Amino acid sequence: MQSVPEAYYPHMPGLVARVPAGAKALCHFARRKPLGALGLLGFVVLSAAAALAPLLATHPPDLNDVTALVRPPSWQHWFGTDAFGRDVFSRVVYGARISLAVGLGATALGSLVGAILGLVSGYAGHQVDALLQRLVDVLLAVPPLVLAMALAVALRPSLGTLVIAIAVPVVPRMARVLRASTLAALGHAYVEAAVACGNPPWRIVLVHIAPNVVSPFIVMASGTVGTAILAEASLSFLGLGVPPPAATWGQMLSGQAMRLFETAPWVALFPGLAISLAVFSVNLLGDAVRDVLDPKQRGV
Amino acid sequence: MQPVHVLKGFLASWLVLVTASVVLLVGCRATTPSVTPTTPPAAQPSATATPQATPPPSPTTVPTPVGARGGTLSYAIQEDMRSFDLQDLGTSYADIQPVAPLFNGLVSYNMYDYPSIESDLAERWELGQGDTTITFFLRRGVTFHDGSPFACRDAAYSLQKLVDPKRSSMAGNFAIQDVRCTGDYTLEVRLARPQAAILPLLASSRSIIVKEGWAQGHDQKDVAFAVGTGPFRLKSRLPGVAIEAERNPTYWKKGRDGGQLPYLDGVRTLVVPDPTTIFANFRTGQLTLTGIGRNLTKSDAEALKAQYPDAVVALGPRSAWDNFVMNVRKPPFDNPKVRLAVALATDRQKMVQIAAEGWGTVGGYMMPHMPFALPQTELTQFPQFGADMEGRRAQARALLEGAGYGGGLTVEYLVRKGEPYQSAAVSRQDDLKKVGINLDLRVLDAGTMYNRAFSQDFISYTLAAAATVDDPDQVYAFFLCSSPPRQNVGGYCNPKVDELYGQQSASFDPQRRVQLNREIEKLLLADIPEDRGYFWWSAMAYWGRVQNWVQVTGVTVYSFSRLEQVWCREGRCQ
Amino acid sequence: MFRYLVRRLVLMVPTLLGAITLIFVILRVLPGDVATLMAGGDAAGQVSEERVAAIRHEAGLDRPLLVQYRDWLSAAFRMDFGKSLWSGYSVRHELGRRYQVTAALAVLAFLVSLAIAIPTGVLAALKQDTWVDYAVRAFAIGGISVPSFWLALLVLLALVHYLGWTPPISLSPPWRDPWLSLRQLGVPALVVGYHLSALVARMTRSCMLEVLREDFVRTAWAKGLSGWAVATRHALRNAMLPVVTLLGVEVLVLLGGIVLVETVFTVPGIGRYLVDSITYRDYNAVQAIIWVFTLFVLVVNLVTDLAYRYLDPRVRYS
Repeated sequence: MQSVPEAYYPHMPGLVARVPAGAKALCHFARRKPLGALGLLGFVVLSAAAALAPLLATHPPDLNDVTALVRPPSWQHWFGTDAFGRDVFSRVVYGARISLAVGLGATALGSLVGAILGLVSGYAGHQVDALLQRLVDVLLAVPPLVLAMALAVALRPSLGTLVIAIAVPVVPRMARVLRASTLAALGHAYVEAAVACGNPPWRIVLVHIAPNVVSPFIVMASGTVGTAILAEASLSFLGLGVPPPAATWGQMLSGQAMRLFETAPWVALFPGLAISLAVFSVNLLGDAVRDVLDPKQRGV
Repeated sequence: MQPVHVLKGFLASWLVLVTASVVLLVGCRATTPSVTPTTPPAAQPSATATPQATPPPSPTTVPTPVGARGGTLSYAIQEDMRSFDLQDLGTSYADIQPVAPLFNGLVSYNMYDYPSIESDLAERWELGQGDTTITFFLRRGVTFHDGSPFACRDAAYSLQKLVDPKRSSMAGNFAIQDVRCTGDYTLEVRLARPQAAILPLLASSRSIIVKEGWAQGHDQKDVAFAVGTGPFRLKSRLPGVAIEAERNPTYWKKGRDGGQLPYLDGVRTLVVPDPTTIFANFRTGQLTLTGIGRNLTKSDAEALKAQYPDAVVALGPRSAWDNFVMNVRKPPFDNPKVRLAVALATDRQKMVQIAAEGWGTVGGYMMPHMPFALPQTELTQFPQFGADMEGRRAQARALLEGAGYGGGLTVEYLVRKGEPYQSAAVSRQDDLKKVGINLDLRVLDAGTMYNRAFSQDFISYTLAAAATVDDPDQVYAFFLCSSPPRQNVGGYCNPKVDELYGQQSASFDPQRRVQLNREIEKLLLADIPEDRGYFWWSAMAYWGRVQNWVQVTGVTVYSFSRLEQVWCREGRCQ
Repeated sequence: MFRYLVRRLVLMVPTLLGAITLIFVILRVLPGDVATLMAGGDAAGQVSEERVAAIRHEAGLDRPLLVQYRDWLSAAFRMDFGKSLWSGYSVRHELGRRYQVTAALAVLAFLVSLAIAIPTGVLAALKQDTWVDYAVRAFAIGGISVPSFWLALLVLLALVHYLGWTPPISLSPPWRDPWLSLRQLGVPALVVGYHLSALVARMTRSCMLEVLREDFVRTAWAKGLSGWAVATRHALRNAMLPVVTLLGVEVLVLLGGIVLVETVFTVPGIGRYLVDSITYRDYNAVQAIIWVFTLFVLVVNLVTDLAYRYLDPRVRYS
């Protein structure tokens, strides 16, 4: 997991001068940003759980076991079993895959589309800019959860459509930030010079502008992952999520799980904690990334 | 790990945050459910922990003679009502429960002695002319809520509306040909053919009597529509929130103690979509009942048993079932072998455990609590009810092999959103996977489901299926060649079934009717037009203060004697 | 100022039109419509085709899309959305009745969020990079990390379990019986407010940190004023300004939280109306609610910008 520090050190010459890459960089990060390091740790642990789900899971996640319905945590079932006799631990581990995939996938999709719109809008200017900005204004005015609800219900329920529904509200936010960064970059003398020298637009965007917008992109995207994971859970709670029997954390909280809470708290407790932990981790990490990369920017 | 400690520890940590703020900001008082020390509540069987084939009998079967007056009974429905016209299309329990107490029928089910039928606005009736004419002698001195008197023209108008397919969703069930008044208080009903089910159909909560011409002049969604003769009259409706009804002071019916009915001051129906919230509000005494005939899980019942000795848990069979409807017009389910394989592979006992926590009954195609159903001993002769699950699976695999699906097959499976549909579907999916049938589960809301089902755009689905009248005329109409595709959605057709159906419908001889219906069920069990997982139970809870609660059985969800005999101790329901 | 306002209002027109179109496009591709849903009910299969067609006609769902769009456009500008396809009641009337509950909840939740966020933000700034700072920030970030519907359900169950109490279910305007409304909305407001507080807490902290480094604060320190006196008298007042700018973001989070928490606590506000209407495929109501939310957000944004301009003369928008 050295990729995160490496990704932003090139743009922090002061830091690069002081700190070598690798383990030392991580130590330094941990000392400077203990909460961020904690978040990184949590995120790494959950990602590892997702990646290694088939190895970690003690049972097949969808297996109904009528001989073990709603059992409390034990050596066989570390987090107990649910109303279907399914192993909650295995489902939480497998759930990490879908929930993180939805969170990261929606963030990536929304951020990329938003980034492209922002770059195009900022670079092209004029009518294109005006048109795109109106579109952004419109999308920004609808509360993200409400927009995602409307989209989730309009598109047929599946993993892919859920990612789209959650990604759309990300687009205008990223577009707005990147447009501002692009405009700022265009103002630099060396970019003006590059334009004057007759470089083609793609070259200007890729070589001169893109490096300047990487930081805000990372800051924005890292702050979005948590929201996206929560959105998956919220949509599942409203019955608009990935259809069963898929193990997603949100799905595990919907339906009968909460109804069992008093007699069998483990069924809803562990997936709820998993969501909270994941979102908490990426939020801590996102905050730290924001502080390191962009101490001035706030509240976007 | 001790589950109780997990719970307490976790909740306690939130309580540090919440309790302090609640006490300071909201200033609520802890209210414990009141326990009356003097008399113990009426007969109340507790929820049994062990699964069993039939639910335990329901409490209070005979109305207690003397009731206290007063109190407002409040209960929850999970979705908002949509129409005050109960014959309107698509009305469900959510419409019937708040609206039925505002009206009367000609006859009604005696829910204290189910399924016997008692007089209502018709004092008595006579069958004549080759069983095709019924004369109803109507009650005098009855007034509607607006003060106008009830007479035969109102009843005739209501019945004409009831059997008009343009104005009534019930029309297809009735063999009524003609209705006319032969006097101010005599109604003559002529049937196209003898119909044994005519009285149960007229006793349905949907067969209500409205004022003459009422449906023309009023929007069914308008509160002004809700003018009936029933024990309660509408007070207010807040869409999506609540429906309130108050005592009809001039109700025509007297109680067994000679006093004016109803006993309750009013009935409050609250719309609460989330079952967890319903149960929470029941426990804190905001609701008198969890819901009429439904809304209780076994774990809820256990929690009540442990903490609230004053709560009564009532269980009973219900005229509703889990189904796996297969489109028999299209492959793969046009092949009876594949349908049989599905039935063989489905572990019904397991489904009862998973989807209903054991609160369900395995049966064939007729509700097992009805006399028309095949006895359990005959049912188990059919291979899909065999005890040896492994053997059944092997047989299913062989059948699939024979049908050319040896390599397995994948089938799209539409499931209605919500419980218990989803739980049953997941259990079924797990079962069929074991024999090589992969169900590609799509959870859809009811609207989309109906859309696709009615346009035959499906391979298989699970949707609500319930009878509003416990009678084969309604239950087997799903499987007739002559039924419209909206009713016979799967497209199954066996002329022999239609023939037997016609015979049983016309037969007034109860024994012969039972025989004919069992023949139908045998044909269906061999053909498997759809697979039935299990039959639901009704389960509800109410506080011990509530007296004279009806039998929870068959169609209680729809029919509960309009709460006219129910009373609360000391005139307080909360 | 006036010219700025006019400019902003003119710019809002295409946004409004765009929002109207967006809502229409999303909702008209919805599979399943209210007519078939209403044809459902418990007794499936007892419904005729004609009845469904009649309902569809009554709801105007059988008309060309362009005509439906034109009607929706005029409805949105007149704020008259016709009848709910489900309950038959006027959607405007329904919104008018419910907005009071939602507004009361929103205000309460906002106050709760400030009550949590500002002290914690100031504390975190004063104790920067100590364990107090970390603990306080972790608590605040926890608010946006726990799924609010889950937290709401846990709180509800805790209330039942330990106090034997649940908030009363009623629809009454907050001024008619404030005590009843407070009992009904207090706990939901706590949940939404906690969820909301993270944003403001983070903002307060970073603003405080910045202001604490300013000369006049250093002077105050030098004069020997205590930490809290400096914080409250000098720094906090200056740090409040940027908090106002957050309003635009907060209102979005607030509305999302309200939708979920109203559903859990059975609060009959606009949020639950939205969830119910989506369930019932009640086009008229869903359109109207999203439109009202959008209008509200736009107005809040406008007010925020104006307030910001007014409060901080240094800001000059071009």
